Amino acid sequence: MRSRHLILPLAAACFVPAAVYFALSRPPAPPAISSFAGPERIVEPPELESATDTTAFIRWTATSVSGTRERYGIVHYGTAPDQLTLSARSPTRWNSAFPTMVFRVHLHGLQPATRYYYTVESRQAVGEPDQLDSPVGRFITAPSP
Amino acid sequence: MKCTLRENRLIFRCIVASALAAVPAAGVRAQVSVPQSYVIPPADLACILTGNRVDLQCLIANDPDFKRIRAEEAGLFNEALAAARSNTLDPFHQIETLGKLEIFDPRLSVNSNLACSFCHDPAAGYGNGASILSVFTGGANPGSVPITVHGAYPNNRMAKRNPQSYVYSPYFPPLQYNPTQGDFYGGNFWDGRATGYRLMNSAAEQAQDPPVDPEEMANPDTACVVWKLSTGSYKAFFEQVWGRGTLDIAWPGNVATICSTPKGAASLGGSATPLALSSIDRTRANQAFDEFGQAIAAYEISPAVSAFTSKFDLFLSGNGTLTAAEARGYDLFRGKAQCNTCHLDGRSNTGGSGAADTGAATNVAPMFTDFTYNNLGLPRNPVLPWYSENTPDQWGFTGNPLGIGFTDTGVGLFLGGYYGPPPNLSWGQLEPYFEGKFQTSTLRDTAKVPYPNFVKAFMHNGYLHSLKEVVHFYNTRDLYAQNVPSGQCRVGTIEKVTCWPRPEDPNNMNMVIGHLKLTDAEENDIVAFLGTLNDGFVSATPTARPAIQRKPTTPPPS
Repeated sequence: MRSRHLILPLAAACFVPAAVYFALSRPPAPPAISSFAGPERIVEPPELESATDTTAFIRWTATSVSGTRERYGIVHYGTAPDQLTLSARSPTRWNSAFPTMVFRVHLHGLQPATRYYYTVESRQAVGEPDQLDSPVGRFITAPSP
Repeated sequence: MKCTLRENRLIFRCIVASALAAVPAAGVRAQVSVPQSYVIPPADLACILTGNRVDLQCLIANDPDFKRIRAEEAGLFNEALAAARSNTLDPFHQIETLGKLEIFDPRLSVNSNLACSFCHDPAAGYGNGASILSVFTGGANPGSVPITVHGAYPNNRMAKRNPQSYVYSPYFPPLQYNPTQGDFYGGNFWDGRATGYRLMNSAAEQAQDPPVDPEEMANPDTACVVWKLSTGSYKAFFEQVWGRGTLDIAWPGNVATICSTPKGAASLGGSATPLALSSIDRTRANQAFDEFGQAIAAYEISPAVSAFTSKFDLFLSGNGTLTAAEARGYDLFRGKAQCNTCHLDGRSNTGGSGAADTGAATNVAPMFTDFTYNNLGLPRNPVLPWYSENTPDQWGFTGNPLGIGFTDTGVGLFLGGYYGPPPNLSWGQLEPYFEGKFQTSTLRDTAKVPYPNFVKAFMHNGYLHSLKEVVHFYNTRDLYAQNVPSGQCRVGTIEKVTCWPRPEDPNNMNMVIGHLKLTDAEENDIVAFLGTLNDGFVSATPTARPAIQRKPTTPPPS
């Protein structure tokens, strides 16, 4: 999409008919597979599953899962709600027999006794990120033992 | 000996204190834990050193499992040799028998003292067959080369991992990256490095590695294996299978000297082909080495190894039933525990959604693996002698210069160039996504043991010692996670029961597992189900089939 925007003025300047340009620049259409059911929807919101002084597990449940079998849960986190500059990703595998999928992400290398804020997203092993509407959550790590 | 009752009342865990009495000041120290049922064989007691180390030379000479394995090995080799000489085998069984001869032939190691089967005991499901190694070395086996440097530990070259079973390994396809799924499928070895790309047979290429691995059979040149085949008791049979003249190679005068020098010896100057052969003979030797591997794969796929004769196979055929515990375990396996997300069972899936299971077998020969790779987040197993192999042996070879600093990243090692560039150079960029991952092994024969109370080593580093521990780890890895090294769980917790030390490699850790919320009884049911995957429940011999009523043939016109 970005390259199309960059190239379009140049194409117009060269008097290439727009229809021809889009036919040439459009990415190949994805295969028509009916199981690609669309964006995921969070049915159980992200929450802290457990935390130690330096690690935490964040989990959420999504429905309308489709796509590659291996998928990544991603947590963007930081110590201020507007500075989620760190991220952690954990792979999981989709079992197509289940109507929903639990994503769990392992955060490690955290500071003890510290409040963290986070949002979540998920990705397929290849391709575009899933569209999730994630609230900002928070948790506090345990003090050093 | 200090024993602690496990909270679920099923498993005791004992800390072997006898060997902790006087710990030397230097080197890697490891706490050893074993099931209560295990008793160190009296013959091995003198082989246990301070610091929970073991005298490998002492074990090789005395351990009862080692003696059992060698006796089995000799018996199976002689059985195969008799079959080869019987002149009764059809071509199909000839190549299987050739592979059997090769697998049970200790001559094929540099010191003629170690067969493939030494690390792949048939009675233990073709994995490590020595309880003492499961406990003290993570299942890692001694190779062909003793280490005689005074005071060195270990005093034998040792493989860096618990040997992976080769049951059903030829059913694993050649390794391929699937760009649509963004995943690797197939290959052999824990880290997938036996890709099978050249022979289009992962198992055949896997079989070619240990004979020239310096830590294992240690031949300095693949042609040395061929030379041994050409001078062995089944040379004629090899040529009967692969063609007359296959082994006609002009060997140099120093072949015996070169081929008795272990791989990695400084005197070989780092050459992978120290045998000086003409280009024609080198090509012929390479071809014969390929055929050597292909014959082993033929044996591995034969009913002798990959039999499809388990209780579960009988159940799939509709001719057998599972016990109540096994059936509950199976429901959990493909339901709450989600084991069949990766260990494909060939059946329809209830998915825990209440949907009806038609019971129809979608695959009557399921492999119980999807041929992918995962990082389970296993803690480091510090008892692996590999971590101590950081000084040169008497040949000038150092197996692991990094010592305890070595991190086993599995597929990451392969893709990252630890063994040299991967054959498909574009795969190298995928290393960050596969670091820490190891092959999803088949579960077939995973419960097989040579005798009750045998201690089996599970996983690539042998950290787990029973299927109960394996299932408990999958169930509670994250529930009982502690950010501590192996052996240093906090007071009041018990390692492998209520404490799982931090993973050796935390990257790409699979999150299907870790907090399955299974009860202790449910864990036990899954273990019961896994026992149904052992081959040998039904006979591998073709049984009588229903008589076929043939139409009478029309008599030819007179």
